Amino acid sequence: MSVGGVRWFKARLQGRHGAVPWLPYITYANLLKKENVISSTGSWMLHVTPYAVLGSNIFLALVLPLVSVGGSLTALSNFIVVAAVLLLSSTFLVMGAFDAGSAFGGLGGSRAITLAALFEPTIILTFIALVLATGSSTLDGVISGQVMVGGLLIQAPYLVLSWFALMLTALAETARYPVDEPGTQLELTMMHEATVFDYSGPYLAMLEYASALKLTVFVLLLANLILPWPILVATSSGLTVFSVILATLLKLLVVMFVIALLESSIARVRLYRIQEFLTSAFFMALGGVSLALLSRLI
Amino acid sequence: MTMQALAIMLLASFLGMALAAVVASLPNRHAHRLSNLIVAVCALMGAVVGIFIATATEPLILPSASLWPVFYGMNFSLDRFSAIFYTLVSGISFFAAAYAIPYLEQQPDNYNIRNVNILTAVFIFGMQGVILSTNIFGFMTFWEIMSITLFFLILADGKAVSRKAGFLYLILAHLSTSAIMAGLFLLSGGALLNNFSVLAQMTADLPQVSLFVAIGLLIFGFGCKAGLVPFHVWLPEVHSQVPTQVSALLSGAMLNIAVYGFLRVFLFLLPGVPMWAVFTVFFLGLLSAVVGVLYSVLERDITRLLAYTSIQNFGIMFTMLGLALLAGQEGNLVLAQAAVYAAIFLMLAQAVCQSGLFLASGVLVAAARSRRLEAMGGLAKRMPQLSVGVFMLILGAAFLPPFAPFIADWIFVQAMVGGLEESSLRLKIMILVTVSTITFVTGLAVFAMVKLYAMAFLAQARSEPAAAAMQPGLEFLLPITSLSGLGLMLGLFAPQVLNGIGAVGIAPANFSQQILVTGGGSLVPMDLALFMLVVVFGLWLIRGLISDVKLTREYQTWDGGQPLTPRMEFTSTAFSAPIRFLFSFFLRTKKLVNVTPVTTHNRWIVARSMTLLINQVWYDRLYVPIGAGFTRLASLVVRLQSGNLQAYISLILLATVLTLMIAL
Repeated sequence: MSVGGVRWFKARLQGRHGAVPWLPYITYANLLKKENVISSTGSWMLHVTPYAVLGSNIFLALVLPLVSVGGSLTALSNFIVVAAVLLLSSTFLVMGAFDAGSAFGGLGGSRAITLAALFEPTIILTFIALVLATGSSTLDGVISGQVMVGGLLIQAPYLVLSWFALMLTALAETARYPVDEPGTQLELTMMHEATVFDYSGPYLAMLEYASALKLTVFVLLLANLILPWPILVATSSGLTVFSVILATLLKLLVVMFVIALLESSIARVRLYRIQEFLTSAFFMALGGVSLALLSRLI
Repeated sequence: MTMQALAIMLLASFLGMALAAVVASLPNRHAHRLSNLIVAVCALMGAVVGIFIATATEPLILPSASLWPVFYGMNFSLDRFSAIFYTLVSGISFFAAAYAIPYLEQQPDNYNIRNVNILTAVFIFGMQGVILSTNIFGFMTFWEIMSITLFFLILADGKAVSRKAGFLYLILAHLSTSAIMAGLFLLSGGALLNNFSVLAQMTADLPQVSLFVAIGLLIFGFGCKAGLVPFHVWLPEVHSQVPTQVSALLSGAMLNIAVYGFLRVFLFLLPGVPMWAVFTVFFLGLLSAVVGVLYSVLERDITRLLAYTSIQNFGIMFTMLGLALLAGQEGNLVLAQAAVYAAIFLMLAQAVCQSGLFLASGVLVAAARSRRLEAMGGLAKRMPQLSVGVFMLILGAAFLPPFAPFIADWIFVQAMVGGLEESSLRLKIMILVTVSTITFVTGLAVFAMVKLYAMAFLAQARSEPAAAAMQPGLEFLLPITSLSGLGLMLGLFAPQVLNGIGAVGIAPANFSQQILVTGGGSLVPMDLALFMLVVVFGLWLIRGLISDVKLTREYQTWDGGQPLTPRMEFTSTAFSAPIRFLFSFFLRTKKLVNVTPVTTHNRWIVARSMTLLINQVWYDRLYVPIGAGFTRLASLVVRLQSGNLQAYISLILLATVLTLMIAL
């Protein structure tokens, strides 16, 4: 959904007509019907990777406060756990990329794991700022504490640096511009695409869906930090459910438009200049924590 | 179990090691198996006693020591704190001995089996003795036994490289032992036979100067033994030369003895730790963690890679301890306690993961007939069972959930975040520095571990021996896979384990509860693991329902028309290229590309080869100048040794006059 939407907005911005936003779903359905070709070089890792990668992203989608808060699984949305599960999914993705034994898989894998590893401090620091501002160490608590009073960013404007740091992280984690080019056809510029290069059929569908799901998760998390309302709580009635679904779609649309705008207006950064992107994200996150600490003092 | 039965078992597990050494020296062809069997049984017994004492309330004092003239003046006892270490050392020794039986039989050409067995048993005996001793005399005696036997174990294969590594180790081990000895002598004022508890009261009225010197010496001594940067240079060299099971013992047990010594002195003996010492420990820890992880990302030799991972882990541990000391002095006792328990739990976790990985590396090296990762590859297909076991250890060593090292990391980071608001500005800055560095290190640890596993186990075999590798037998598989199981169990049952060793602030007082609480956050490791499992299982079911699982075929990897060979695979050098580039200001690696023309008429047809030089910054910048300085000093001394009798006599006269001047 989010991937298709971004693609559609992007095509419109670039003056093209663009494919329908739900094209990815059609692709997944097609892929699921196709034959699953497995590399004869690989080991059991090739079979485990799609389940593990999609599994960890579903884990995040279920645990994080995206459309509802206060569920029974919310205790697992501890910020350290969330960061670690993100890293776990990258680990499996890279392992699977290597197993087929082509040089492209290795290339993409090496780059993907470099990014995932080096973004770890930024993610943790960003979450720490949120935790400090709200006093809850689960992300669910971070959002749900704000449902009644308006968005966290409106309540605590000093978190704007952390919010930007999280957005930069999201762009890197979901392999968007300026870190990776999602639409690339050239193997040498691929990062995420290269890691799923040697998969086909249902496994490819699972991996692609995992990556799209991750984008949706990050998009909704970012949106909920600004405006959590309306969100599902345990006592919601049927009408609220409907409005929540509508609002979620609206949130997705807005952020998708922003990403498409971003992707159309900036160029991809050379791999070796990613450190600038990385360092700026890190210092933004650090600045966010410092501001959060300072605001407590006053 | 009664205290008496426990005491007998403890004594048996300790003296049994000496017995095993004697048995190993017998000229009998069963001596090898028998001695390792004795070590394994005694170690298991020791681990059981250790668990009992670690969860009990009163210490176990061995009365028999005074009866034995051999142990003149030594006293042995096991309290709750040392029991944790005794369990660890004995437990790792059990796995090492079980592994040694088939491993050494496979390597009769490389090692003198008899000598290795004798030395290993004495090595374990020494480690257990250090933990059991309650006075400086016993502590230092067994410390020296442990240090010296390791030196001979390094020399066990008699190669020139081993001799070089051995002498490097010997120099640093001697420096560290003498520093510890001098430090402890200063603390005790020469009273070697006093129990540590008596000593703790004596240190309160020591003059500041001797306290200063003693603490400095002790930090160096224990830091050197634990492999902290910049005293770490011996560790990678030694790891790549000793027999595999000794490598596991080294990383899983001996380095922890250094932590034991450090904690024994800094938590129990010293009246208070001065600020400069706290900061020294803290920064040495941070430095070791960063340097360790960067070099383990770079290394292409499996044992050296793992050695740097040990350095990284011990760096994290000392960072935790440094922060704990700092928080303690600032009055933030909750954070101090959580950090100490995180360090102890990380020690247990890393011992299990690292020794498992070292044992597995022995199998891999034997299969690929090389320690280079680039000579392995494709082993997951040839050794499926081993590869699953190692994969679990890899996930553990990469600080990923739900394995034990992740839990230690979680406790530490969560406690720091929880303590952030109430702390002073200085502690706040330290916490922010620590959180950033630790997450950076754990992130890169994932990189290093992914590299290790991907290079050794995945894709095509990169060398002929690796292509012909066979699944190792059950006798190899069992120790390794049980260690990986242990790593998982330790993670899942972390609340119970922490509760058992008395971390009531972190684990609830109710033993049966499955929750960790610290710094305003909570984690149920079991729930986390179960939910992850449920999600993946559900996914598997759904996939089976909506798409045809049977519709699968195997085909070669897409190759663009040219068959893929192992030489086209991504190498471990290439894999670490992004990190090398991003940290080139620190690592200063050099890449040499050799271009040799193949034909004369077309200059584009060339053969290229690339060599990557990994600089050992510390070795080149610190050790080589010191060594050169000593050589220069020695050459000055040579001038005095001219053989001229008058010169000697005048020197003696000068010395006498000087002595008299000082004395009078």
